[in-house]
Amino acid sequence: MSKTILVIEDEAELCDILEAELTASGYKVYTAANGQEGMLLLQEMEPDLIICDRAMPVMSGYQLLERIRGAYPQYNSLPFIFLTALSDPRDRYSVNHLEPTAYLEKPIDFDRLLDTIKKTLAQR
Amino acid sequence: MYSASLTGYSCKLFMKTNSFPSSVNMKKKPLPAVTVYGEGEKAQELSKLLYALIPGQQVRFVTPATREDLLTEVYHSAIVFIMVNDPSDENISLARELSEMPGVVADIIAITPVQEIRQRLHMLTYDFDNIFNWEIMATEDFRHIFEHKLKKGIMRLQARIQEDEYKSFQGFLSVSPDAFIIFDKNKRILFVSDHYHKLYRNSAEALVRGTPVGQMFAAAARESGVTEDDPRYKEAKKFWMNLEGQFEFHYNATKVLRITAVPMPSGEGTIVTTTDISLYKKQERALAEKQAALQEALHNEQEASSLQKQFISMVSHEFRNPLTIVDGNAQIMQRRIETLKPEEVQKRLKTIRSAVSRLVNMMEAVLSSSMLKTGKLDLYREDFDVGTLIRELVQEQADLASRHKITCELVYMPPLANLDRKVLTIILTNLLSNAVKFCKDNPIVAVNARMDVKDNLIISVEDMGIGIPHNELKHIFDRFYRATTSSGIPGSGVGLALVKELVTLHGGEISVQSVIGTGTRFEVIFHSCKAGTASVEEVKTP
Repeated sequence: MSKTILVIEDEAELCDILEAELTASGYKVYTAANGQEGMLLLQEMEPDLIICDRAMPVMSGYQLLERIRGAYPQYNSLPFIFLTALSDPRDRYSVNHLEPTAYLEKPIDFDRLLDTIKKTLAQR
Repeated sequence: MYSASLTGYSCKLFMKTNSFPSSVNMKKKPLPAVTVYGEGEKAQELSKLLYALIPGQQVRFVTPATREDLLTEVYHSAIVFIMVNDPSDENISLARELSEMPGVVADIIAITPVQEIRQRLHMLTYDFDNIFNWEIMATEDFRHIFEHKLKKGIMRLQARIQEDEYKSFQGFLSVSPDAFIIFDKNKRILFVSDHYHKLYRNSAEALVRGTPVGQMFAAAARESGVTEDDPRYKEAKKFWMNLEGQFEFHYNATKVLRITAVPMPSGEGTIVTTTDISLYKKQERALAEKQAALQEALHNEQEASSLQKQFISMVSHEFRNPLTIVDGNAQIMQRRIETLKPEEVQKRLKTIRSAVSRLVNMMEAVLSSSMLKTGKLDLYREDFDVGTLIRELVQEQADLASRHKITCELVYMPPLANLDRKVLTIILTNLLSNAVKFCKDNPIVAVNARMDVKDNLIISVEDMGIGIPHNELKHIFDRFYRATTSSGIPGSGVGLALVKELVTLHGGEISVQSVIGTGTRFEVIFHSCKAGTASVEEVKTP
């Protein structure tokens, strides 16, 4: 059975690119447009991994991970990868305490993204 | 010898003279209370005799060269003996002259060695009775007289010194910038410096020695118009009744007095000083104002710098997203070009182009904004088909936002109008992309344009989106400012600031209306846009 990935990204075109490439690489992909939708899908679909943007309307990626770490300990071992345009070292540092699995910056390097996903899932 | 027999008594007198209340001056510089003046051996003999009469009493024998020197001696003496050898001696008239001079307190005593001329001297000088015959000097009577006169003389001298001191003290206090009132231990006035008499001209009767402080305060309050319901009254009354501490009295709009009570060093009263600190207060105010201005400038500077940082971080973020779309699509095509269907390739290319156009728009906005700031943007007005340009811009936006319904209604639009095409393009593109961006949940945008009878072009762009909080409306044209409702929605905070600057550069006006949850409406007015009215016009921004 193929592994499932939840992609949370508010830019529809970017969401589409991610979905296309991840599907082509053999994963089953769910997409959500913000943190709140992502939270619902997470509980509904129980994915194997989350790829999440940071700056999004309604609920940001930071807020989502903060909520997961605070209120849903059952997802603590679920890999959570930030994929964001916030490239300032201070931005990166600001999420350290939430312990994301990885922090990848846009533009997306698919080789690197797929490699990170593969290694992360293999460790589980 | 009488000198020996007088010893005991003289010592007593000596003690007595020293126990007189004496000023600081007296202690520092003991005065020759007895001065002998005259010529010849008899005069010297007289001084020895007087010295023997009261041992310990300094007796000075002088032979002054000038009248001024003599006067100085006399001025500091309690008794002056003048040896008169002859009744016609000019010394006798000198003695009279001296005794009548102002400030001289000494008894001028003439001594003559000749018995029979006493009578004649009296005749010469009628009420001048301080004439003694040499023979009398050795008698007990003279000792009594001398003792008595010396005592009186020293007291007069003392009083005169005190008066001199008081006068110089008063003079000093009058030239001092501060005003003084001295109270005794019963809180009655001992001394009031001239300043108070000048300040309270009508309260002269209350500003005299002996007036109780309460009475003085009542008179001063009356004259300065400080009634009981005056907020200054309570503080002033508390101070004057206790004669303690310090307070600031706002005499009038410009005059501020600092009034301080200090206990006298002797503990027998209080000195109240009044200092005019109006100038100091004024300077203090000016300084505070200057400091506030500086603080504000610094604050503005810091805010600008913080906005600048925010802007850079935002711009970098905003540029990354479209770049990611371009690069992501390129990577997909590179990795799987053989397996992609042609229509999918088409779709991806279209997405790439739209992302590039977004990048170009953003770059334009940032560049135009910085060009406006450096004053390097020229206005280029020309006649062109404004209606068509508006329709094209609306269509362009509709292509980019396929989910949105964008209507465009043009009323009374002449075939040609006079405007800067590039400026209008930037303004409309920004307003349109904003409208689209902020109404994703209710994607309806309405564009209206019309030319009024005064040839003013009026364009409105209205969305049915999230709206802007009322209290933030006044800031939305500020550079880098973003409404709180815009969080999570991409944007740099430059767009509307740029729009406003360009509208102003074009001599136009922009206004905004918004209701939270209902939508936002921007209206731009360009004045006098009739075709053929103006050709090329260059405007440097300030």
